[in-house]
Amino acid sequence: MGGLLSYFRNLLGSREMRILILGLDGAGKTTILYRLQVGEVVTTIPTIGFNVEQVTYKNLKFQVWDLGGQTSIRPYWRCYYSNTDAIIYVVDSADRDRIGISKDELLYMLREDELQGAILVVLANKQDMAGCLSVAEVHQALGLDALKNRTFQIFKTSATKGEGLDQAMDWLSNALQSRK
Amino acid sequence: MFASLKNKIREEIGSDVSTVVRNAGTIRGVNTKHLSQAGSTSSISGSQISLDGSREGSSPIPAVNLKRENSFEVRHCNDTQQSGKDIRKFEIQEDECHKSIQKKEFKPSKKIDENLIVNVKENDNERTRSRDKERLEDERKNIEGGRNEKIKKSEEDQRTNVLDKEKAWKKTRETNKDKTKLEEERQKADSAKQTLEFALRSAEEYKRKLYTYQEETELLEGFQTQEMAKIKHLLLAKEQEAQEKTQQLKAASTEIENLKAEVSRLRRYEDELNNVQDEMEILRHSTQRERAQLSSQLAQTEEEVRHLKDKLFVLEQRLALQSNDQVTVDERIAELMRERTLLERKLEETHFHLSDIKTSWSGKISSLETQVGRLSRQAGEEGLERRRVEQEKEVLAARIKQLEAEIEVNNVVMATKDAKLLRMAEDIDEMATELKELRSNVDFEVEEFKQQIESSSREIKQLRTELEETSAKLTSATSEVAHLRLSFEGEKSNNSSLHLEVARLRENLESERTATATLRVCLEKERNEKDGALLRNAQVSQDIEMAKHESRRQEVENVELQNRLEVLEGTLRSKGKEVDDLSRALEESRKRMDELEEAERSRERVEGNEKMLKNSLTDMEEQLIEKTKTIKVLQQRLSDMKKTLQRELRVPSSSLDSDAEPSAAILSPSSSKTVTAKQSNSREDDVNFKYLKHVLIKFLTSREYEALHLTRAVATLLHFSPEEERLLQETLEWKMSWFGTRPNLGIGQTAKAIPPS
Repeated sequence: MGGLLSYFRNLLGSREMRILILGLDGAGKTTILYRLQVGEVVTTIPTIGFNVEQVTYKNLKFQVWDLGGQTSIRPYWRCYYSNTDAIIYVVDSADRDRIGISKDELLYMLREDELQGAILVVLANKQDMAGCLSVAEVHQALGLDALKNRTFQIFKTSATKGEGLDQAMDWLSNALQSRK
Repeated sequence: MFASLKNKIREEIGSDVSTVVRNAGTIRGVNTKHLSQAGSTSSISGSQISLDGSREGSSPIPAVNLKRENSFEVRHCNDTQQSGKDIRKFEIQEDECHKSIQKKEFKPSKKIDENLIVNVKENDNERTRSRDKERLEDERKNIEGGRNEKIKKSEEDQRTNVLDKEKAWKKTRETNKDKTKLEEERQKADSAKQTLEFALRSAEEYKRKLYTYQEETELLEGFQTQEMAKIKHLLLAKEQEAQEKTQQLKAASTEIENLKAEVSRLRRYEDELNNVQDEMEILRHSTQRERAQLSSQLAQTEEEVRHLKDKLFVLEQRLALQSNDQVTVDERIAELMRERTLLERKLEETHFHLSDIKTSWSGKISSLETQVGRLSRQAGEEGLERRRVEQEKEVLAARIKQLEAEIEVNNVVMATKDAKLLRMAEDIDEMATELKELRSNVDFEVEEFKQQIESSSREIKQLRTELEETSAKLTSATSEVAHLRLSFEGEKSNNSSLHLEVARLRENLESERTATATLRVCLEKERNEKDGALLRNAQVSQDIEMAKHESRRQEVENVELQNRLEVLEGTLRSKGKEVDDLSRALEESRKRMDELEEAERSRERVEGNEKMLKNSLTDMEEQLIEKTKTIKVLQQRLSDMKKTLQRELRVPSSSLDSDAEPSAAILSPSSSKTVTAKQSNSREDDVNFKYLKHVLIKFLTSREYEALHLTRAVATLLHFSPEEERLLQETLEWKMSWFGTRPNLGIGQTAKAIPPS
């Protein structure tokens, strides 16, 4: 039955974009997901597993997968990489200690063959916190200068305040549409 | 026509036209003088209201006019504060006024048009009536021609028709009358319009004037504000300057006061210092002088002592010689010779002494010279005496003058005496007259008193004696005068003697001078004598004795001086002690200061050390924090590495396991994990298990489309073999597809799925 629906959907041509939200634990992935879906801040618990939500943005439908970012379940990210259109990589700008780990994870992820065609959006989250890294600092810390053959953009966001997410989604939807 | 109209208008609005005109005039008046027009304007408004009442509400213009006037009033109440808003309002009102005038113009014309239309209709009616009449006549003819009942009926009908028509005609006539009335009304309105236009013109004039006035006021206000700002600025600047000046003054005054206080404080000390220094100087001088005198005296006395000793020695020798007579003449001679040589030597010594004494005499000479000085001073004193004598002389001269004055007094007395004499002569004359009278009486009474003649003659004699007495008195008076003249001459001689005395005194003075000269000569003589006296030794010895006395006296003085010196030294010492005490106190305070400074320095040093230590501590802490951070990062990396290593290690082993036990695929990873990593981290297992559970629930509950995406995850979690994974995927795809074959799932025990029924 579901397959039938999806088949119809495919027939109608409005194929859902498959987007993954990745990042270290506590970066704000789940908050961003629900901010995108319902437009408000919900109380979250650490995600052990994943959350999948349908997000409609400017008549584009996205199936957004928010994967838990804890250290022990990070290796399972690669199980979800197939048929991914875009990756939203969330970084905690205020967590200066683990930005290196975040960089390692990002580079490790980007090396996957299944993600060679995926668009990358990096969100320097928690910009509202005092003493956080600026966008340029996050850009440098993640080594994004070395990225080649990748459509990507970095945005500064604050999921709790809802700042920067619209720009990021605008850019992402434009990039996805232009890629088609 | 116009007159009648005017009358009518007058009837209708009373004296309103004139009032309106007057109002215009008053408005002009308001223009010329804006102030204190409230009363008059209010009266205008009152009249306007009455006009409204008489106009039956068909004239909105007066109302507007009234309003405008009210606005004027308001404007005057507000005085010069007329804003552009008011002007705009005013303009709007003006426009309204224009519009209303136009409307007013339009309305009567409309009415007139209507009337014309009515007239035309009336004419038509007349025409129809005439036609009807014709018809009536025709009908009459017909009636006359026919005369049947039908016609009668028709005739009646016709009559009624005529009556009706007549009624209509009457109506038209009435309308005609109405028309004339309307025309009159129009004329009235025209006149009203004219008046209103006049008022409007006046109002416009007023407006223009108002504009100019406003501009002027604005200009003036601008100037005023500018000037005010300037003045304020100047005032502020001045105030600032004044404040600065006052501050400077205060500072200067405080400084002056401080300086004054210091000066007063120091002045006391200065005086004391000066006194002490003066005393010190005096003491030093006196002691030095006394010391020098004492040393010279001591030297003199020593010399004398030595001289006397020598003498004593010679005399002793001589005594010894005289005592032993048995010695020979030669020996005696020899001894005498020796004595002689000794005496000669002594003589030489005395010569020496003499020369010394000569030198000492020079001091004496100087003393004598001082004596001379004293003598000269005496001479000066004598000069003073001389001066005194001169003063005496002056006194004498004064006395002479007094005497002269006395002489003059005597002269005056003499004059009085002369006067007396004259009076006496007059008395004599009187007596003579009396005598004459008596003689006349006698002559008159000779005959009667012949006996009395003798008595009278006696009386005459008596009188003669009296006369003689008076003459004697006269002579005595003359003698007195002579005596006075003599005394005067005596006085004169006295005066000359005094002159002589003065001369004598002068001579004395000269003699004194000569005496001084002689004294000077004597002085020279004495000097000569001094030279002579130099030869006398006795005098010398006397002098020596005198010197001894003097030395004794001086010794006493010296002792006294020494005592004083000691006292002074004592005081000096006490002062010195005080000074020492003070200096000691100063030193102590300095020491204390030094100690304090040292303490300060040490404290500063300690503080510096503390700062350094703090800095180093903070640095260390920072380093520690950095180190801990790096350690944390390293630990995390290590754990990550460990995990990845474990994962990498686990994957091949699990694949091997799955190959070995494909049926127990679901449970095998957990069991293997429990085997491999039970000890290491049970928490991670818990997380992994939770994850597995979550993914599986999602997988089982989700639609095929989502489940297809989860196959990989499930396969990874449950360590599926690639074959098993492929089977799962194919099954899901088959479920999703409408057509297609079921994938081969094997048969029998190795079958991966439940076979279809």
